[in-house]
Amino acid sequence: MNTNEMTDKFSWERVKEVARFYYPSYRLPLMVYPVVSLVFAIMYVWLTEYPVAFMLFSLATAIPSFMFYLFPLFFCRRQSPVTETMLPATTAEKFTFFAILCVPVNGLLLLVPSAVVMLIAYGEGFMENVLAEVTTIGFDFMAETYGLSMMQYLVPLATCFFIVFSRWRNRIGMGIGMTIVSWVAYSIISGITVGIMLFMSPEFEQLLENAGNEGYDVGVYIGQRMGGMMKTFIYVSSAIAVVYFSLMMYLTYRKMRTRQF
Amino acid sequence: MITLDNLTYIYRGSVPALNGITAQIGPGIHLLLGENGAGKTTLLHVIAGMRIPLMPSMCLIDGEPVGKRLPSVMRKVFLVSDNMDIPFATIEEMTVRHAVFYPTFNPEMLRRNLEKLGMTGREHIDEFSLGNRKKAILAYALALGVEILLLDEPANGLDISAKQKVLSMMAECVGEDQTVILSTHTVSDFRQLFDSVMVLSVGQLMVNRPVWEITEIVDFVTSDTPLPEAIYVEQTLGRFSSIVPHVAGSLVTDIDYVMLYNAIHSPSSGPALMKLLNTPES
Repeated sequence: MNTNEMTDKFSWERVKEVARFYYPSYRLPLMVYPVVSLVFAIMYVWLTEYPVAFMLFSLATAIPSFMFYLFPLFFCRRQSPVTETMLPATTAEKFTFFAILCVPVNGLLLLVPSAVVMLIAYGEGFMENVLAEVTTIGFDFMAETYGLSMMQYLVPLATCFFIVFSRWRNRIGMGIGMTIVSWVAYSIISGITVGIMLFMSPEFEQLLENAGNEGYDVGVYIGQRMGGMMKTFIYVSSAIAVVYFSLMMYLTYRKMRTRQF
Repeated sequence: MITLDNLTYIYRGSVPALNGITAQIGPGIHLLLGENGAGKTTLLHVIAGMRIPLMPSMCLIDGEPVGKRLPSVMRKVFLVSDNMDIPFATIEEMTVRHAVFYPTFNPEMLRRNLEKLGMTGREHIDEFSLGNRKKAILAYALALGVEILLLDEPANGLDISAKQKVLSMMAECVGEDQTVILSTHTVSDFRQLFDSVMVLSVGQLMVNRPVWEITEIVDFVTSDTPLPEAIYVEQTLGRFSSIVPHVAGSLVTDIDYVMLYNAIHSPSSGPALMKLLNTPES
């Protein structure tokens, strides 16, 4: 960069310099994340053949999820608050770099290898095929709203992002703790919302009546009859996730501007 | 030029660490003295943009508030703090990833500085002792060529020969247009370098004067008997070291920073000495 022509306006050139400055912090996940994602995707495919290994199946999905949530923690490695605070780049430039790396790049590092494995294993339209393999109870709406439901991953990520970039002390402990808290809280809120929606549904009583009948599959019923309602729920919860994410991003930026050593 | 205008900094739920400091600090090497907790490190952190004062206009670099951390301001200032972490494996890596932000960086000066310290820049910083780490970062900071260099206890952890090397590096590298503020408790290490003295006490700037002006206000003399005109006297091994008002026309004496510091902090001599040192026309 020709720093002799340095101005205080936003500069993509300086964003690149910031990326270069922080490279030692994120070099490790750049190499490790795709490999781990690949391994877990293969494990995932293999496990769908063995439904008995259900616990491992959860593990195969939970670990990459937490890798996504906790990505910002890599910026706590090789930290130097003195050098970082004095770095001649605007807060907007630093924030832009952190946001790009922690959200789309982080997502792609985990999604691309796993998508390749899925594509090879299940072919085009693999999401529907995977869900058909996994659930067998007719949650068709899940495939339709899969992309949207990924928004929920933004909630714990935004929490970890906020903790790491808004403070200097105890970032790892607080980052992990608050990420788990936000993840649990979001799951509980979502669960309660689903419960309320289900309970208030006029079809709920019918579901209870039929539940005792022989040969009646509750899962199929939910999948078929409640699909529309669940889609609404996913829209609502995704919207909540996006609002929360935007708010946390804004708060992180504000905190970064005034963060003191 | 650093402008401090009624600079006040308060830690959350605490008394002011810096309380109404007003000063203009121009080029030169300035010694910053003060007891533990006087606010020296806080002052350096505020000037480096790491802490934000009550109002941004309280601390300006070339007229711009440093608290806004604008790139055009931040590239003019660099702080070497005590036990500073270096976020890179080697100094060589630091030049590639960090020095690019500083257009005044002089790689040739860095090479010379490191050579003087017996380093190449390719050594792993993690394997350095505290002293070697301090030497390396000082060599690097001097080569950055920033307008304002802030050094917090630069002699900490350095052996005698390393102090000499750092001293000679500073004498060689600091340009006439650069401002260096050096906070230290071991004044004798760099005593030949100082152009001015700043003394902080309980967050207030007690003295801020060029060395040559101080030596034209007071003399530092040693005698066998106490001098009647002495403002402050210390007795060592049967001899008396005194601070006395300078007599116009007489030869100026070398400044004794430790005695000056003790005298300022002495309840009996402090007020009189400060009145003398802070009289503009003296």
